[in-house]
Amino acid sequence: MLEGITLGRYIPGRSIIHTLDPRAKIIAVMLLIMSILMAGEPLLYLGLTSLIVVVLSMAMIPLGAVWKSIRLLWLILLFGFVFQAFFTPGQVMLTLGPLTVTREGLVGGGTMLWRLVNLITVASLLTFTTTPIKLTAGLEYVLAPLNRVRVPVHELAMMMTIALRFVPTLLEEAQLVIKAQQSRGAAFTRGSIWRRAMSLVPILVPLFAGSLRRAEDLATAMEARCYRGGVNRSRMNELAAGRADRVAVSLCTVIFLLSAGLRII
Amino acid sequence: MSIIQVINLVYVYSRGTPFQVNSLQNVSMTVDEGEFLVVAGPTGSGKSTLIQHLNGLLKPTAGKVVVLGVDTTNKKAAAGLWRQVGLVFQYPETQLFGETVYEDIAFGPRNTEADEEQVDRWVKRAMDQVDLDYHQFRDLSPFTLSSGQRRRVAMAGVLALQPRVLVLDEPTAGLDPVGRKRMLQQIKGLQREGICTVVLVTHNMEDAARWADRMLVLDQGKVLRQGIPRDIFSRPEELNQVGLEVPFPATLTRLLRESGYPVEQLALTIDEAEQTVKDVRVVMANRREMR
Repeated sequence: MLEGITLGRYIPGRSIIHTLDPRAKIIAVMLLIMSILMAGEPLLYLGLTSLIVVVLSMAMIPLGAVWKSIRLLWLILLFGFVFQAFFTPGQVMLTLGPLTVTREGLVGGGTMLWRLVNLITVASLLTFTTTPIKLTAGLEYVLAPLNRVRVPVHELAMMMTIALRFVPTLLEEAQLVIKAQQSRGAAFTRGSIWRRAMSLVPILVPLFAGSLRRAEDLATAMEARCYRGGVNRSRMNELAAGRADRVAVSLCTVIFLLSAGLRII
Repeated sequence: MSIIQVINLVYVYSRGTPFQVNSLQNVSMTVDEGEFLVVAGPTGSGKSTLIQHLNGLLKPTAGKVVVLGVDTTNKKAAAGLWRQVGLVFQYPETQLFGETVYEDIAFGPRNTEADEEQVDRWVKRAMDQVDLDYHQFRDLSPFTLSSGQRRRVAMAGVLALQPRVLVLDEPTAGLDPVGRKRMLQQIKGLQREGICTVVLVTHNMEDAARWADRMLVLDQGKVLRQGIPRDIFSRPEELNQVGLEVPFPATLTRLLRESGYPVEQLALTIDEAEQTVKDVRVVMANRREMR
């Protein structure tokens, strides 16, 4: 049921995308996300998607992995598309009883679908190619200005890393608990809604208990290594941006300006 | 008579993703009615994957698994297999959820068509089988028990269904030597009394030698050896190559035999080894006198 979910996971590799500075990657991804949200021209859609595909192949991420991250959200995607297609007023293309599909609806729904799929892919690209440690380091750096307004940036970044780190662990554990309860005859797809909701109890209780245990172990392990938050904490590997990073950020900036410019005009 | 047949089983995890793992490759094995089968092998050899096929939790990527005459790919027929084949996972105490010990153990029985009176009988018997006092423990929260007790509650939760085959994945992991021996004695007792056929997964070769009627040794998703422990331990090279150690008593008696001493068969336990050494001394003393 939950097997092989790739959302938020790191896929080890040695490609140029993997070795880019995490700060550059974060900034590039943010620029690309804004470009995707602002893009209005079909040609730009095509350009952005091909860029993403090129980067994916440079990073040697198989399309199957991307598909598995998107698959998690396909219901939302489908619902959004159908909703838009049916409920946008405009030129009628097709009538199904009281419902009509409009041309504007199809275009709007299609655009939204394209945006969401590309957003998920770009975001996955970041986590696929960046280890959680580098990701935190990069985030902390990028968000550092917020420290001035007393946002605990280091703590937030650390929380995010830990959360990401535990996604696969918890999925695995959930899968195991589900299997164990299935072995005792638990059925999750039978009966009334109330019964189905109740059938989750045998899964959620062990999962929560396990998470608490893990959190405690992790806290002990961190304390044992004298972790006490971000103040005066140094890094073993200092981040260093190079030529490739500057090229990547510049390229994404150009794309962003292009999307924004075309939007304004 | 075999009650489980696994024929050329292939299983691939996370097919089509970068995390793809070929877990089982062409595994064929059987489980005979009433036996104590030990599935041994180093970490990552596919032991846990194999046993999840035995009650239909996993379906073969290729090949066939037939349990009590039912092909597990037959969805309808395999849906009831959980009652026949009880599966106790590794660290099963982490899967407890009931407010009381009783509620937790009764979970399985209540998923059948049994009435409350029957459920009650089954719970009582299961607690008895794992040596938990019914009146003392029934109303306690499992979360207040020691981990050894919790593990026994989890085992009772599976036993309560009276499965014909009991499959256990490393049931002694993390137990102290006393708890370990006690746990294995209980499991052996269930098999000896004919209550269920036992399939036990372990990488502890001492346990395998001591308790198994028959052994299956897996390595890297393939069957390395299959047979009775004495035969398996008589050829240590293969086992050593995959990082499994032959138990000390077997090695000792094998070396004695290779040095020319009259050793009839390999010893599997320390007691047997002691007896063998005593016998050898008697025989040697007699020979000396004859000369």
